[in-house]
Amino acid sequence: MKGRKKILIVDDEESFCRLVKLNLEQTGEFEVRTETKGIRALPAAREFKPDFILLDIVMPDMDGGEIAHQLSEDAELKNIPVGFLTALIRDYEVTPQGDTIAGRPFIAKPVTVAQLINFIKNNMIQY
Amino acid sequence: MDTKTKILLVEDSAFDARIVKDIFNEPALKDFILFQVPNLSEAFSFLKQQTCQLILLDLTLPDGIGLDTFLKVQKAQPLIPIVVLTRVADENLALEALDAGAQDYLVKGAVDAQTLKRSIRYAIERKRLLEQLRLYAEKLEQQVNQRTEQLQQTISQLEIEINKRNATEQQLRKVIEELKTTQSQLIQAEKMETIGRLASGIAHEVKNPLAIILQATEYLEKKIPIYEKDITVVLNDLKEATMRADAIIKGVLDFSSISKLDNQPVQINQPIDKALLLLKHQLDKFHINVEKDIPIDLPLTLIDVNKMTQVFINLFENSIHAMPEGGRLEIKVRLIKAEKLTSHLIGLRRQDYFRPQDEVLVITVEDSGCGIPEQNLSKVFDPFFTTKRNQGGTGLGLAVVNNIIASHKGLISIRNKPIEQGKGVIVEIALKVHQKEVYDEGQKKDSNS
Ligand SMILES: Nc1ncnc2c1ncn2[C@@H]1O[C@H](COP(=O)(O)OP(=O)(O)OP(=O)(O)O)[C@@H](O)[C@H]1O
Ligand SMILES: [Mg+2]
Repeated sequence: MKGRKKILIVDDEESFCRLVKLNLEQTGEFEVRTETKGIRALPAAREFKPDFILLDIVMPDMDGGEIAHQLSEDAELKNIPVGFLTALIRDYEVTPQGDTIAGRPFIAKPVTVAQLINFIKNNMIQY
Repeated sequence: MDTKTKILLVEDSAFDARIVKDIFNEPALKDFILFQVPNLSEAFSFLKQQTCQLILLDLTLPDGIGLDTFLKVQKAQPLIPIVVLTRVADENLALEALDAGAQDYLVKGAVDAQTLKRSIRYAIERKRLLEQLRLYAEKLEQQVNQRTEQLQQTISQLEIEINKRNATEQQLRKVIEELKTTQSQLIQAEKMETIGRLASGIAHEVKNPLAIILQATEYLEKKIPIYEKDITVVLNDLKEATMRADAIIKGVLDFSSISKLDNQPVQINQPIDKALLLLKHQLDKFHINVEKDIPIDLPLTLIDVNKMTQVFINLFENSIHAMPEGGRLEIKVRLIKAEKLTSHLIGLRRQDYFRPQDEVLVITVEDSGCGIPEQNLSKVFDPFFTTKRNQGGTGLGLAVVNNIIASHKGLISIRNKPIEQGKGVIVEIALKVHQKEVYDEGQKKDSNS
């Protein structure tokens, strides 16, 4: 369907990926692709051409920070907005001004669907 | 030398004196030698040159009348016995003289040698005994006084000794008390650190499954038709329980992150205002008046703004919870010398934190809430101590506050308001001033080089 925003989620928790995909697609506003391996992030992005990439920070093979760095150095992918999703940070640190890790917005796990959608919309350009 | 007993007769009447002198010429009185003067002033000048063993005193003299005559002589010569001479008509006067201390009285014309001799001897002997008695009494009194003084000295020495011991004992108690608090603070610090280390390890692992449960619950919420009331309620419970577990993890996680402070020199009102902004909704909802008293010209302080914001969020939240019917939240900041810090402020190793000359920012947060029961005061900083468990309290709020303040090398205290100010809690925080410190260091370096 046209107008649906494409979201790429990279998170090593398989069931989390599955559920977020279900929840986001249920709204009819998003098309979601998930990857559970860090190294799959760049190839998937190239293939899927997402409007927004959501990265888990702590992953066994390659962490989200590293992926974000590689994305920023890739001529084709560097303009895709990226956000972090992490269990490391507490949400009070996400102030109304919007805090960032290495210049990227982040949101703390656990997160409600509404919060997640809000976060994606706020950080996606040309929505 | 003359061994005879000298008698001085003070008599103005030559006739009367003649009679007395005649009696003294009798053999019975051969051991006595008599001198005569006609008035008091001559008597005094006589006694200035030589002494006598007894005075025979006529009470009516040109320069002395009645009892007054006797008193004058007795005052001038207290050691010499006095026998007064009177006429028959003056016997009452003679009795008054006896009362006043005369040894005897003789009625003129009715005296013979034997009577006179006996009277004189007795008078002299009585006076001697009296004088001895007086001396004994005096000596006794002196000795009693001396003893009393000695006793008093001993008592005051004992008192000094006792006071010294009391002071020593008090000092000892204080030291023991300090040791105890230091020990319990060390244990507390140790506990916190262990919890912190555990927490950072666990938090990540627990937050991921929580995230899944939350997403799953929300997914099911969308899938279950609204009319399935029971299921909707169950799902809601599930969601709330998840949020609560998350709140606990959040609190525990705060311990682990304390070692990495991101300190910046800032105005102290920055974290205060940030916290107030984040809680604005709640403050308004519960009709809580916020009164800020923060001077604008305060020096900067070196703090991690996020952490310090959390400190104020936790404190303000506690106050809000204590005032469900509304109330007042006062935030005051003062700049004072460390030596003037109130004794309420506690810290892990107080002496390391501030030197007496340091300038310290003291932040006071005061509410008009329910206050804290005395028996809970010592526990509120303990992790997991809460009286609000069924309202979702984790009991980590103040434990986190305490740790953050300690990691800033600050001090914190919590207490109830004095009764006369009504109910409510006062939290005091002391933080070092930033600029001053840098300035001091610079000075030191200069003088060293
Ligand atoms: N301002 C206050 N007025 C009255 N009681 C207070 C106040 N501050 C703290 N307390 C008491 O101290 C307890 C511990 O406070 P603390 O902030 O550590 O945990 P909590 O508020 O119960 O839970 P949490 O902060 O995790 O939500 C509270 O449960 C409450 O009984
Ligand atoms: Mg609290």
